[in-house]
Amino acid sequence: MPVADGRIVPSLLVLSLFVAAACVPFAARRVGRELGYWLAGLFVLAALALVPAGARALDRDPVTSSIDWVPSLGFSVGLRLDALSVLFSALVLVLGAVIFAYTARYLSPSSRHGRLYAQLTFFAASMLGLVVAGDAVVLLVFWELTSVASFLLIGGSGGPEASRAARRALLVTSGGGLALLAAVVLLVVVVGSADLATIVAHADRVRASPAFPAIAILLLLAVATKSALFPFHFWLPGAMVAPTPVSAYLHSATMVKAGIYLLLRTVPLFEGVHAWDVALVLVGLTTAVFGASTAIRQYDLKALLAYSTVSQLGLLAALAGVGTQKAVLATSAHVVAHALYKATLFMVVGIVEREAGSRDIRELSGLRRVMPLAAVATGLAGLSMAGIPPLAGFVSKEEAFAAFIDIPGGGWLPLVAGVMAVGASALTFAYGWRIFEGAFGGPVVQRLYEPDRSFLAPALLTSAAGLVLGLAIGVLDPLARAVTVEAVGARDYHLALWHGLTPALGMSATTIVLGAALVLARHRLEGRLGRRRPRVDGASIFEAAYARAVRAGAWIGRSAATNAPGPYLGAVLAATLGAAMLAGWWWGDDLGLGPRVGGPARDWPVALLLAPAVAVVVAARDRIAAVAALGLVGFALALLYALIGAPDLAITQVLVETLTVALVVLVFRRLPRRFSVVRPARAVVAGAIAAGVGVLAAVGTDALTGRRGPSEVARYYLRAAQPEAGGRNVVNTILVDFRALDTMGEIAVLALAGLGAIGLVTAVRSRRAP
Amino acid sequence: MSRFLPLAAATPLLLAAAVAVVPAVVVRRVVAAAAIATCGGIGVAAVGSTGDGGVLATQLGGFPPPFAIAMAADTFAGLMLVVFALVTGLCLAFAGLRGHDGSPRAHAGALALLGAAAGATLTADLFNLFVWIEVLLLSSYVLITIGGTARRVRAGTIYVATNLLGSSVFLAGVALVYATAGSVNLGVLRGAAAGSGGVAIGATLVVVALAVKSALVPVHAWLPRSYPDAPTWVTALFSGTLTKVGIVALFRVVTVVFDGAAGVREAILIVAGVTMVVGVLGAVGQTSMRAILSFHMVSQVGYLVMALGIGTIAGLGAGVFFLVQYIAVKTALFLVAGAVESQEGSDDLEELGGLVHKRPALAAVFLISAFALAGVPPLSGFVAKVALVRAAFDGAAYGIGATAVAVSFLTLLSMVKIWNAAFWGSMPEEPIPGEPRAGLLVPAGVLAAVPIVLGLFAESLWVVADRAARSLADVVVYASAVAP
Repeated sequence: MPVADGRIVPSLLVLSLFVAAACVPFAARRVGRELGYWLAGLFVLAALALVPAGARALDRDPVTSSIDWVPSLGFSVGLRLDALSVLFSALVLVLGAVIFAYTARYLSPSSRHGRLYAQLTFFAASMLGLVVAGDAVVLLVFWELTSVASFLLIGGSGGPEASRAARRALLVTSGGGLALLAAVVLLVVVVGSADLATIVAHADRVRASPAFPAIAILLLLAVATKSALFPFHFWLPGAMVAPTPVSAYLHSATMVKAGIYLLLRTVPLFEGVHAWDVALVLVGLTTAVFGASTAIRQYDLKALLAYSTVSQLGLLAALAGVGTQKAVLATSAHVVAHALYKATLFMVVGIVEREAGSRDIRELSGLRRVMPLAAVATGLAGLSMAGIPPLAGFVSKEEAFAAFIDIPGGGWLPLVAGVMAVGASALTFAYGWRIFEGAFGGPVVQRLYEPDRSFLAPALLTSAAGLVLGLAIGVLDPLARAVTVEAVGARDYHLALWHGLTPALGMSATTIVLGAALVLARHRLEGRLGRRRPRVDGASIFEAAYARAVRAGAWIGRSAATNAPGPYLGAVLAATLGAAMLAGWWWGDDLGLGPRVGGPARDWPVALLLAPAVAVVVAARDRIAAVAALGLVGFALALLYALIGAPDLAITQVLVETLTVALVVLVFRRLPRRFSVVRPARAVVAGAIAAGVGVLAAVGTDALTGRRGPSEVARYYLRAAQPEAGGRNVVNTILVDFRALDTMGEIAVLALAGLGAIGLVTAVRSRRAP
Repeated sequence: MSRFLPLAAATPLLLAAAVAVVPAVVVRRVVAAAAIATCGGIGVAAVGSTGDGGVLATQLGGFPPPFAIAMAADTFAGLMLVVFALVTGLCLAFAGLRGHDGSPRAHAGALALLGAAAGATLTADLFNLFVWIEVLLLSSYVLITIGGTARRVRAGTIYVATNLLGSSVFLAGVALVYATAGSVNLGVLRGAAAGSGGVAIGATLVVVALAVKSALVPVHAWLPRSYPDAPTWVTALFSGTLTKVGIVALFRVVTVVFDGAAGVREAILIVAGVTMVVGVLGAVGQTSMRAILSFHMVSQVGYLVMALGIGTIAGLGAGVFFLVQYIAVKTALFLVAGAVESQEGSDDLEELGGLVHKRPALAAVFLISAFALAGVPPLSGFVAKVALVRAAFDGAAYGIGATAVAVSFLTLLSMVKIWNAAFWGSMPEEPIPGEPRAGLLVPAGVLAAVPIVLGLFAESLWVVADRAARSLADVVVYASAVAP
């Protein structure tokens, strides 16, 4: 019974958050922005509900559950709460609670904010689903849902710039989602199961499969787009148009870490694949250096934080890609440390923006005197970000350095990785200083007051947590080590504030010295860096590509824009010609038919009559002449029917032709006498198609007809007409007895044609009447 | 049971004649509902009684097989009848709510269309199929020109001219098949293309004609040219029935006559890929909701034909699943476009904006349907897409699988284009007075629930789709039921 042993808990949690999201708009009508506190309470409860599962995960006994979804396709909603899932769930729920408590004061008291709260809760539910998914397809489902939530949250803030930014975010992340889809399907095809644990357990088979390079590239694409790695990073700074709680929660702490989560999840697949290490270290650390060096040039604090997030995500991706014991341990620690200090910084920036009316460091100054508590929170978070002991950021960064210089396989990679990591971190130190000095340093320019304690409390909480966690890093150690056991099967290395005099400690010291040097040289550097505009800008490249796709689409759409029937008919004839030629080339060698049966052809006289008539139809410039010639074609056919012994068909044909000619001439009275002149080029194309189709019809008729005696059906009709249908005229018995259904259909065709004509005539008449 | 099969086609057709002369709109609505219920009911019964993989077949007029016209229903055909009946009912309901079913031609045309669709789905006779396609053509012409504006007549002219030419090609193909094989009975023709090159060439012409009807590239342009100009509910109806009959017939003819020849499947996969790409790019370039949606029909037909090209049970099953859920999704999108047009006075993206604030319910319906079309999970379109891509990769058709994934990216792009311009965006300067009517949303809302339900509870449809695929692939059972 799943209820008894707690297996139901994860699925129940995810489900209850989705239900909560659906109820939020109604609740918001009653309590308005205060709903944030209710939701914060709910998230705390949810986090507490996960504690037993967390304890089991530490004992390497993860809670798993599975509900059938599409069993025929092998889809099931499998959830699995191992240590990695617990780490990320805790992040989602605890930070969620903090952010919701912050949102309750960030939003204006006047409106209801039902939509924002609902979308945030929906996102949290999806994100929780993503990190507890035990099945690759389920992971993919939630992966895409987080992209959708992010799209709505970015664009919902209004304005054309917001909706463009939302579009960039959605298309980039969903593009990656499609890469993930392809990767998942390939994995399922290779392994035969979508269960993540099973896939990971069959890592050997995956690596041996010819699809492995494709899987690796597709996974890398998914990670790079979701976690904003270079060159897909550009959607993240654009996403900063969203309200600050969204930026803090989705676009720094949780959603963008989904890529890191996926990398950690798939570490065993890439064990011993050196190319994977190289790719991720280069992509990740390039992103880290690029992000940091862009961040340091920003004046808008939110943009600065966005590039800082890009940079830190690059560092994390490189670490998770390396995937050694030390690297996984460092990733786990840095994910937490980064979430704490970055959420703090975002929340403070939101507060500053609300109080001072700006987030541009050129307009802000001296806030440390008027907002001392906000300054303390910023200071603690900044120190953690810069990697100053004893904060959490110092510990995780030093573990990262240790992991980089220990990359297996040796060669140039550890050295390059170490240098790039130190460089990025020194830049991080420098822009951390820039945040603090820019907003809180300098003289007081505005008469402001510290905001309400309740507005500040969440930021103070997370910044203090960064300090406590640094001092007591042992609290995180069991969980982080459980993650490394799952990923690489080893647990002999520990997180610690002090590992002794190690090379990594030297790197930390170098970072601080270099960072301090950058700070001292900042004014000289700023002059130089400020002038250099980035030559390539991802967002504008994206927008240009978007516009190009639309233009290409419009060009393709032109084929369906003309009112002349010619091109549409030409396409049908050309396609027929092409397909028939292909079929003839394919099957023409062996038609499987006998020699021509029966005597010499009797239809040559008719053909002799037809040929000039058709020539006149084609060549005529005069409409009446063309119609007359066309009538001649019809009469020639009637003659053919008479010759081969179908007098009633011949009579019908004569009637139809007479009527047609008469009616068409009546219509043509209203049109110019002569056809309009056609461009020669068009005449050539049309002529070629017409000639081709004509030859095709002739060849087809000659090759395929008249090659057998009367068919079984024909013999049956002749035999059964009298006894079964009571008629001597076989054609008549076919029409009204043997194939009466066809006749009913043809009667319907006539009736419908009449109905349509009556409709058109009345419509035209009623328009003319008034 | 099998004796009642012809009624699925005959009842709507005969009642179409009746409603054409009934003056009272209420009576017409009731009669239409009865006809639709009959057709759908026969479909349900057919699905129910073919669960064991059997095929219901009847020889019309009681003449001996294979000389009589045969009608046959397997699970695939039964499922299609149900879907066609549902779509017709919803579209007529939408027309009724908008007050656009005032003309008797609305009900008569829609019922004739349904009857012809049912006939084409059930018939096991190539010439009879030609007749049903003619009935489809004329009934759709009646519908496309309702109102008789110059724009619609022009669109109708192109529509009729192209499709009439397509029908001629079909007829030539049938003639050559009869000339070479001596029969037009699908039971007799099972695998005939493999045995005789002559039959294969004739059947190729039939396939080309069905490609015209289904709007495959390069014979697709008539569809995006003519559909956007028809009345909205008619476009929705066409999207759900007319073009799909071509697909249904294509599935049947290719599986039965060619019996899974590898070369044919490869050619189909190439056409499918090109159709997907050209259709979706065309959609990206359009500037009104209905024009975008119409081009998407081309693209999505590519997905359906891709299933045929893969040809495995898994592929065909994914195709049937895709087809059923897609018809619901697309109909919902067209109905949303119709609601937008009737309330805002236009469906041109330039003239729209801010609908998410003005009409939040409509926005929700659109968003769900649009995401379902693009295959965003956990909606039905996602299940369909994953199943198709998996079938492709399983069958080593990597190129088409990758194309399908890439095209769904562009699908999402075009849906976001609509969303950003019409639903976010800023409201136009002068709000155009519309006729707000909450009831308009009901049919679209019902259809928007479909992708959610079929996504979360995909197994129920998948079981039927899988059975339908097996019935399509098991041509021996089909042939021996039709021509024992």
